[in-house]
Amino acid sequence: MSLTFDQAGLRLGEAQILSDISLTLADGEQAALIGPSGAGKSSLLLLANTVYHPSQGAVSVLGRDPWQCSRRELQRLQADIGTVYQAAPLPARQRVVNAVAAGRLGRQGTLASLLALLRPNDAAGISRTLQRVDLADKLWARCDQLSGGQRQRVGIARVLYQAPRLLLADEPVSALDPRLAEETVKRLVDDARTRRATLLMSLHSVDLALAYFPRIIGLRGGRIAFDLPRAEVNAELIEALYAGETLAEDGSGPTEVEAGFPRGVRC
Amino acid sequence: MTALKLTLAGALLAVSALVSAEEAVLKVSAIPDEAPTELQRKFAPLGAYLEKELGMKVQFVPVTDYAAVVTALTSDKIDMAWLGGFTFVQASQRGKVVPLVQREEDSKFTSKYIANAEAGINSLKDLKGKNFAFGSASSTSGHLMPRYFLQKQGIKPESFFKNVAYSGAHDATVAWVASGKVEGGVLNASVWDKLVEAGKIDPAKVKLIGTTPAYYDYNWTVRGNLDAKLQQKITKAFLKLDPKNPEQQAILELQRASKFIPTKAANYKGIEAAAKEAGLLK
Amino acid sequence: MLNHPSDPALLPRLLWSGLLLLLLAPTLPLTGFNPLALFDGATLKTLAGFVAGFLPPASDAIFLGEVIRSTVTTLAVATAGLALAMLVGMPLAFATTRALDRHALTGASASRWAEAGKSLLRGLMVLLRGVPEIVWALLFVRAAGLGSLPAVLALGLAYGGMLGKVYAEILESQPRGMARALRAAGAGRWQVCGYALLPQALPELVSYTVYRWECAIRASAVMGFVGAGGIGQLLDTSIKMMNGGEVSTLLLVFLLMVLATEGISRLSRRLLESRRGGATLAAAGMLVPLASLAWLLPAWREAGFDSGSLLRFAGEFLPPDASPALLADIGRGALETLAMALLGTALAFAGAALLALPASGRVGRVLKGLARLLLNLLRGIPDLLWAALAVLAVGLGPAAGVLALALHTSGVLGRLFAETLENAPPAPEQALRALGAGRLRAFCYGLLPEVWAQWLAYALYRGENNIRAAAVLGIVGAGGLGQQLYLALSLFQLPTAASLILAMLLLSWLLEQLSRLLRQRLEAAVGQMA
Repeated sequence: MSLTFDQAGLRLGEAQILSDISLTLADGEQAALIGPSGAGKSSLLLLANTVYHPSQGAVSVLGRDPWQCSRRELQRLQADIGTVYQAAPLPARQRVVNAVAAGRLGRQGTLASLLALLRPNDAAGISRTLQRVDLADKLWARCDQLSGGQRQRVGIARVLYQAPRLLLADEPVSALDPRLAEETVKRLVDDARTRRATLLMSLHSVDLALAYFPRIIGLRGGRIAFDLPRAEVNAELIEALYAGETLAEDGSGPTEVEAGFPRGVRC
Repeated sequence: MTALKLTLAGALLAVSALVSAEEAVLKVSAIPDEAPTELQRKFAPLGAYLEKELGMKVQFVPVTDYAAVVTALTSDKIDMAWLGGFTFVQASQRGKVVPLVQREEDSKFTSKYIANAEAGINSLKDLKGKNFAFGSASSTSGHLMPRYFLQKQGIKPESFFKNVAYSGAHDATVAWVASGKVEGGVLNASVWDKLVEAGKIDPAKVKLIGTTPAYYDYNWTVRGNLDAKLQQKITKAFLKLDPKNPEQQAILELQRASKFIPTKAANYKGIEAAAKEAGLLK
Repeated sequence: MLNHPSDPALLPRLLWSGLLLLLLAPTLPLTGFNPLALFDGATLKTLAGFVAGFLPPASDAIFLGEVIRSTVTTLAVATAGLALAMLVGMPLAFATTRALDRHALTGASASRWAEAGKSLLRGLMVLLRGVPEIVWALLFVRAAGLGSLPAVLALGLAYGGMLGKVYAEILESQPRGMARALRAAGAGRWQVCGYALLPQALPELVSYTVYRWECAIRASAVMGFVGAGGIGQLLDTSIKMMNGGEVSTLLLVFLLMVLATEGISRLSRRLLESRRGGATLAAAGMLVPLASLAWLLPAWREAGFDSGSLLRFAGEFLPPDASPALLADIGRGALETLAMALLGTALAFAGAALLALPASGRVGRVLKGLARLLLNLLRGIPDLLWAALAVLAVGLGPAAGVLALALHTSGVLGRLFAETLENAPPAPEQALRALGAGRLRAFCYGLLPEVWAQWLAYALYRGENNIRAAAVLGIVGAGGLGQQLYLALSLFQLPTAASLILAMLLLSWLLEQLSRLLRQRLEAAVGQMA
């Protein structure tokens, strides 16, 4: 099993974010996570990529309990988990080549990684990966010279370059225009399929989820509302899942996360 | 409006400080060739003696810098100063000053070369390429004359030594050599003897490696426009100090003098020439 | 298969690194700084002996009495000096600020004579603040003799030039609307200033003045090193005599004083914001300088002040000595000064980076507290004071200057670096940790690219400052131009001193031009990426 949640719950401070989550993803399985904003989709993915520690129940990833691993084992495990974030977490002044190369930091020794900062050691491979997201010409550009959409694709290129066994994606296309969004989802799905990696992707767009994923998991109020094959998901289920959600501004526009750094501090 | 009142009170205080009364005081200082506390200790009985002899208040003004004494004396900030040969030459170039008396010892003064005992140095030659400390740059016995004699021996300090440093005072030079901060140094013979007598030199740390030829050094100098009668009275008081009188013997001992003798500016022509030759005076 | 071009940044990077190495390499022989010598047996023994002497701090009554008196004098000198600086700076600012110009406000054409006069005054301010306050102090000590008056005059002139410039800039940065309306209605310079500009600008003016007062206290504390009284003079003597106990007492008192003034300045800023605070502050602003004067006056009256001798002294500087031998000496001194500043800043960069990591709280709370304490200590002790102490550790000469600059600047940069680390977005680094990167790897790929450019900019700015600082460190024996100046002034070789001061001014001016150029390029680069 690639991913197993066993009655897992997550509590952050006073708030119970997730409760009683039980689900299993087999090796190579692909599933979409949908639900209204605030349902806990991001938190669930962060539980899966070992950033959050479950407050109740248990989570096992790629057949291991991350919280029983030694530090070294955990790092090796994490190297096999790739995450695409809603806004690509890239330092503004980093060059694209290093941002993508960072995908393999978990498998690379410290010294080799630091030397690669001075002289990239796999520029050809990184360039090929960038080609897959149509950014081959941006290899040497700095991240802050890219548009929000381009940055997001750099983030995706990083995961493609990492080639993890478990691929998690948190609304990876909300910053992209519809045509590009669809293409990107397709690319991630294809990549996972050809490498037989497991894929769990949260999506804002129900249509995209239904079009590309054989299994749909609905999340609402921190609990699993349904977990069904695509064929069994009908309009009522979707309506019930999103019931009461105001047409919020959330996620519909490109989320501009401008990395701010302090300037002009007078000394 | 208490703030305003306080302000006014402060202003009054400041003004009253300005106009308080004045009385006749002889202001005396000395080049700081030793620690300031030591200078004060040395001066205290002499000051009391002068007060009695002159019938006026005598105040010691401590200074931490040789050149400042020269400035103070030539700009009439102080009335009398204990000067070294070189500082006297500087003062007479910058204004009118009158040398009154000097110690008998000052007519044949010397400097002592010392070295760190653990550095394996036995003579001046062994100091080649090592660190060397003078006293103050304005010192006669701690800088000018040793430099002059070194140059006569063909030793140009800046190229002969690895680094030339100025410790600021004679006892500081000893402290530097003892600590190994510099391998060698030079200081006033009289301070050296005093430190040896007082047991303040650890032979395991500092050793003597040479002595300079003799030259004229220290004197007591007054500003040129000081009342002539007062000048005479001061000279007389110094000359009167008698080693047979136990009280006065104590004063002489602190000054490290067997007795005081009259002096004149011409005694310091040699120093002036040496200073010019050493490039310290233009 | 290789369809990517080669790294376009590789060559420039190699060139820049090569250039930096090329610049740094000669600094080692030039300054005689040998990092290994710091750890050799003899030095460590000397140092250990001296530091061991720190304990217990000297506490005999006579010494403590002297310390208290000197501390009060130091505070009084700083306050009186700043008051004098305000008297100098305010009229200069009023006369030169562009915020009051009719032509700037109404579009009338400027009078050529008035403009020429203003340029002259601006030049005067450049001169006043271009000569470091410690050099002013040294000059006045030589000219006027002893005591605290030279220190007050020095602060008054150097800070007067600074206040004049900054006051004028503050007035210029205020919104123009009201001033323009008044000017158009026929109001004069005074009226526009009094009714339109001052009320707006007052808080900023006061807060800058208070900040300067803080600086003045540090400056006044080190002026004793050139014989201008106060706590610095005691420190100078104690250091020269290697009396560790006295040094530690004085350092403690000094740090307490700095802490207290920081507290007072914070308090006064808060007062400024409260409604009744303004009146309290104004009263204190009147009372404290008067009290300072009352404390200092008796000594001044005794010493007397002779403006004639001051003028005669000034006359002796002319004409500056321009003999080839001296020019060669000055060239060597300037080179030594530059080398000290460069090496000191480079070492400080490394030290600051190492200290900033714990100080930003990345390795636990205990280490954070310790690192902050260390940074504050390094920063709190002025570079001149560090130099006087470093002279003990590595002997006289430029090596001591390097050490002093490295220590003080580590504190300054370390704090700034820690701030940038804390303010940088944490997400990139966390994401890398989540894909299995170790701490160091995640830091270098996730955070360092974010802060690196900022660090370089800070270091560049500080490096410029350090050249100015390095030029005067020699006054306490740490090599460079300052040492030559101190010797020349001690030997009353005034034309030589004049040339050295001119060299310092020239160096500082060249530097300003160079750094302005560099900064423009840097800002252009930053603007391009935004």
